[in-house]
Amino acid sequence: METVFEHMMQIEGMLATAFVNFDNTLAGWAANTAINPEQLQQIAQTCAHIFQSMSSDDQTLLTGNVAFGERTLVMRQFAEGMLIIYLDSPVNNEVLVWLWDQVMPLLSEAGIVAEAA
Amino acid sequence: MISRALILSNQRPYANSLKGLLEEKVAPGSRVDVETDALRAMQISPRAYNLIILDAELSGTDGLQLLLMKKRQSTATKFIMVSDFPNELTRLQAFQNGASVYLVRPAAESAWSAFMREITEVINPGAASKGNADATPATVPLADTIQTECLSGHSTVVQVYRGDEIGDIFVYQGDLYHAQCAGMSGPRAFFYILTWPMEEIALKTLKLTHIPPQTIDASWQQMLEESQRGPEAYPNEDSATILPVHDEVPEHAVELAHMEAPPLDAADEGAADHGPISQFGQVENELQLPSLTAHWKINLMGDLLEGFNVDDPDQAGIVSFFLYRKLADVAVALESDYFTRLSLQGTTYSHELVADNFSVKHGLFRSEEPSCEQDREAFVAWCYGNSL
Repeated sequence: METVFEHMMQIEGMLATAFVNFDNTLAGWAANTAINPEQLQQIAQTCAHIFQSMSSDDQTLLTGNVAFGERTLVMRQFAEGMLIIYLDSPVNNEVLVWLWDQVMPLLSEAGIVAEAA
Repeated sequence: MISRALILSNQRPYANSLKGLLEEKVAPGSRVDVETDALRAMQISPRAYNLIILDAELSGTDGLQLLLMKKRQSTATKFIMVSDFPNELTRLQAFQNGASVYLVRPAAESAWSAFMREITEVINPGAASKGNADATPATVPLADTIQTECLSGHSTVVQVYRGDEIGDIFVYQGDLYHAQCAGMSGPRAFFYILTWPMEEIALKTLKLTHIPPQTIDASWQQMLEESQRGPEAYPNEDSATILPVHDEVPEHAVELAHMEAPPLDAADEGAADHGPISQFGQVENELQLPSLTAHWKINLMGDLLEGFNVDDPDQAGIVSFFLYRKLADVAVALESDYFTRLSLQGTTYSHELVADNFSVKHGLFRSEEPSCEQDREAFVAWCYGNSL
């Protein structure tokens, strides 16, 4: 059966995605490129560590994106864990809105995250 | 049996179906990667895979050429070529280039069973035993066989079978030239193969048809002599694994960075003796951006160079350097260059970091300001306009 992560791989420009729970377990992953789940888990944990370190009593980090040349790593923190998405394109605000419009319903329907938007 | 396989195909639905069948039915417990990008496929080392199933028609590259290149890099890997438009010429060339089998992509559901049967035939233990059917149990130590091949001035590949493991040792014109086995190559692979007990191995010596990339520089005498000391002392970059990410930035990281030579930058001249913070200078606010509360610049050793409205220079430099270091780890894991831009959006503050080969500029913005998004873009444009 196709997982929600494999389904996400059909989104245009998607290279890889992974979701790591806050106990550092890999909830799921998929890739259109030869990247292994250990690497994705490591990246997601690093992103989670950045978010935790940059948060404080009056500040919570919610989302982020990193440009590596023409590719982009998008990260988003949820109550359940950290989602990373590796895209084969640069992003702007419109691209991010478009991305979340497609990704969030899938994650919600699969019960990976509680929020719907 | 296989432990790792790679599917190289532009056709995602086909690749997904094949991956599922391989992982669930043909080789349970194995890991199957999918690569749909032909350019990235060029960069993948085939040595990590027991099996590679690739399309003859890959957008952006010629599958047959890719097959030839990959087979030369890893003769132990089995290759299966798949085509939508089979013809005898392509089939012949695929076999010449190193394919174990040439298959037609299943166009209908009913064709999948025959397709998977062919793949199973290539990778199942029966097929594997067929591969070493000509190999003969070793009657002399492997080192002696290598020595004989080198002294004879031969160009051969000695295939060494030990259970499911296969190792190849290449001798080219009497020199030890290359060695490979699953997950490693070069001296490390050579020393590893030589640890296999004589009574557990079978050997097959073949004439060298493809000259591999040279991975062993030392003479065969040195290599055989050093093999007595075991493989631990011979790390090989080719087989290096990615280092684990540190959970914390070492407390002394910034101090260590300061011990490095300062950059040859006119701004730093005369200031190098006075420590990083003494180099720091408050600058005028050129940017009239409502949501921008502070911005600063560090060099790649973590020294804070200049900034505007920076309350705590120590803290500002450490935060930027921490982010830079963490993203360097991510870049390594992604096999990518260093990041060029990082955006972080928080409930109270948002951050923009722009990096080049010399420095990182960091802007701090109030998220609640209506102009925050526009201001961040303006800041990034300003960074690029000022060449950081």
